[in-house]
Amino acid sequence: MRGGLVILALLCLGAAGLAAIVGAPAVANTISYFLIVVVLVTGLGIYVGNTGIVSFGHPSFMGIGAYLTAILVMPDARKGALFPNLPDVLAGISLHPLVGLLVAAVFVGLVGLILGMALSRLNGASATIATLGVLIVVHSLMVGGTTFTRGAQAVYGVPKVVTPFYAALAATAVIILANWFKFSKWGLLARAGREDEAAASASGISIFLSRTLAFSVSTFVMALGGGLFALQIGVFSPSEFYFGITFSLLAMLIVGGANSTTGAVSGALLITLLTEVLRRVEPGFELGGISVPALFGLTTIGTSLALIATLYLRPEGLFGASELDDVLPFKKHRVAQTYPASEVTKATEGALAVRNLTKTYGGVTAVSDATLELKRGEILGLIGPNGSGKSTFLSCASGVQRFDRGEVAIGDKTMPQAKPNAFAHAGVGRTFQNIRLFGRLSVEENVAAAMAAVPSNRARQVHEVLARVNLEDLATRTADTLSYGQQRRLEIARALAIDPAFLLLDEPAAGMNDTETAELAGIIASLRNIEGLGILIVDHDLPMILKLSDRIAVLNEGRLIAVETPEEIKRNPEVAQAYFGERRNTGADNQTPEFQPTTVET
Amino acid sequence: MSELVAQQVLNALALGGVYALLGLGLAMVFSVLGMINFAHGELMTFTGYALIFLSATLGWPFFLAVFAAFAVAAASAALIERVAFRPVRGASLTTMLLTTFAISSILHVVFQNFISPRPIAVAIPDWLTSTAQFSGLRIGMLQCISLGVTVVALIGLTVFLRFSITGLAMRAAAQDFSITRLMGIPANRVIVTAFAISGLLAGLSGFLWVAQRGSVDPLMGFVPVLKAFIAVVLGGLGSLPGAVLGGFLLGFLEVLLRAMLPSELLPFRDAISLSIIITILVLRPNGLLGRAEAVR
Repeated sequence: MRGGLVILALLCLGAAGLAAIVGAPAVANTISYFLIVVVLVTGLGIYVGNTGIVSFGHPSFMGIGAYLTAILVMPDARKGALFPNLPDVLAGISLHPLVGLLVAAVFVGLVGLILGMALSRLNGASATIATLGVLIVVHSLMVGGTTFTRGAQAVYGVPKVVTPFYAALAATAVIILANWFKFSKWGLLARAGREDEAAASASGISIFLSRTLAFSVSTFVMALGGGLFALQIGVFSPSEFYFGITFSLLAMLIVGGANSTTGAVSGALLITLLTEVLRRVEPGFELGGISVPALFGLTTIGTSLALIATLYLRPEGLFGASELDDVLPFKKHRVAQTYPASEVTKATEGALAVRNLTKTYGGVTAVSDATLELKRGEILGLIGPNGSGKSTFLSCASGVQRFDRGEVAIGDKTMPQAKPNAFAHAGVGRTFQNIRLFGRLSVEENVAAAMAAVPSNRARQVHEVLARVNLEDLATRTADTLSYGQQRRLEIARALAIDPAFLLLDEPAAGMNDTETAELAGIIASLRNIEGLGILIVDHDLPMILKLSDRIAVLNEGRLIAVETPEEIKRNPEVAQAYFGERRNTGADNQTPEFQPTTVET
Repeated sequence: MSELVAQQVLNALALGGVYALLGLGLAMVFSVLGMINFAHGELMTFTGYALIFLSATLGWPFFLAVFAAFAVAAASAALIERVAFRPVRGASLTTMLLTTFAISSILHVVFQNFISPRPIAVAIPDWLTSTAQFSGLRIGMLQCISLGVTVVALIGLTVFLRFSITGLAMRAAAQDFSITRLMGIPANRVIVTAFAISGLLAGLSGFLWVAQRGSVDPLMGFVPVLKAFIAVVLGGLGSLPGAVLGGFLLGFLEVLLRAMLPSELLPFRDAISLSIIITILVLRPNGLLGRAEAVR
């Protein structure tokens, strides 16, 4: 058990204890409600925090949970009066509250799984708006679906069995669940996808699956919260699961820090306290002879202002992405460090072959009929002037981009187009021209995410991979805080984490100074001792390419004009012409200082 | 039968036009700033209040009051941008989205406390709500005006975006805002113009909405804007023609469902239309006219 979790659990149980000491039913109700809100906010955070996608639709699942729990738990007689048209299966049963609660939550979790599959196909902004749709749809189903609900009217007479103590137990359980999910394999993968979708896909992470699972787990918790709500308050109607609660829950989550369970709990606490205070002054009051008039909706204004202040001053929320554990002097939370070998069938022979690749953008042909093989165990350099199609070539060869004609094959297997995930699983690792790390994850989490996503028949250890790029001492640092050169190296480490057969490096030395480039060249050279690893380097740093490569391919205006050894390339007049051009066309001259002939001669 | 179809098509065009105007206003801001603006609906509501204040309280002629209300909508959009949204400019999608959501909630409360929590009737001139029989077709004046306003607004906006420098800058900003700024286009001008146009569009649709309902209440703009959002996503987030297409599709879908659904399913009209749209989205994740972004 970690220190931070113990403290959060004690906080919940302490609140329940407070209710017992004070003894007043009003206090007990407030505290139970607060603890249920903790369940709800934490549940919302499981999706919003891990995936980075704001959901407006979660209170729908709270509502379904409340209705279902009420129907499952209510005594038959009362049920007959409230819901005369209920199907016999539901009309005849009356479960123990705990059983009813869990049945409802599991059911909603399964609904969430299906709905999550639909939502996870959409990108962030669209998914958010689709969840708005979900909220409206479910609300109108609750109002209109009078077989299972009472329309807009309230359901009443639900047994009020939730005491502050039970609510505290539930809140503690949910906090532990949320914390477990966050650091579990799928939580890690979801968080990686949140940071950078393109890099996550290229690291073999299924964004679809990780988001779907996060959605399902979080709807399960929402339904649990909804069921507890029904069993605590006894009376509820559809309007309680609409925009009002959506707004409060989101405000709590954002104020506390969406990417942290600790943040979710503290946000719930802060906003609940604020609301409780404002609720008392809302009807107006007198202070020292001055009477303050009633302001209906003061709690909404207070919550809104707290939210806006957070967004202006501290958009990551009070806790940001850190947990209580990170600020306590106890052991830090760390991801799994070792990944055992597993039975996977990967092609162990054969090359990464690009055949007759043609890619056009509108009328511009970026790559034209290019055929190139990256063999096992070789370092292949790919050079060419700006705009010659290098990046397009690499994007098509790593499954990121679609192309018009030709094929990409690994061994004898033709690869699908625009499926970076499949390429990673087939053993193609890559880096990006613009660094794409999982910025708010730690260095070791960056590597571990890729390892967790792609199984290998070799056992792997996070620190071994980090050691390859000299980053083992920085394992617990946040990736964002690394220097430029370190970030480039971390990207290589992440690509190596999938135990690739082919490593594609897109301008790894771009923007580096001489010292950093030298260190990088040393690292790339050392990768030769990984058995059977074929490396493709696209770069402008000609001296580095000439030194490292076994073969060099030259692209010019989308065509491969040469594939030769470095020695031959140096003497190839066509290459020289493509690179250094005719000086007459200075207007369109795109040469950069690295391409001075003197540098080539080194 | 054909009259009935023609009638429904007319209804759909009128309703779709309002969604298209709303969607266009939302897409305008989204394409430039990447901001999903929830407070758009409150601009609609505010237009209604301005209209009431100017025509009933101050006694201005109806026409003048309407045009002044449009100006108020445009100006308040620019003002909200300046006061509330500028501090989060360039922040993450989530941060901007929640800021607009909070502003929208505050405006609800402000309307409720300082104007009225209950609907206020708007004195709509009789000629505006009159209808004409036309070979079996019942054509409402308001429908014609809806259509007319939509068409004029779309043409006007197209002309502005195609032929003015600011319009060109805005189209460029919609493609890539940072590059546009590097080309020497002042960010503030583009953003304030986007908000003002978006506010004007909210004003137009607000007027049409109010004229239809005959009253204004604090939450009036909320639901139509939510639907318009969904229409925008259906068309393709960030695409202006997509927003218009999505708006009209939503209008057609709603009118079609209203006409075709058996009465016991009518309460589920919104649920069905939104579910259909979400299903289309799941099949076409980038919307009808949207594109996926390039990865480097």
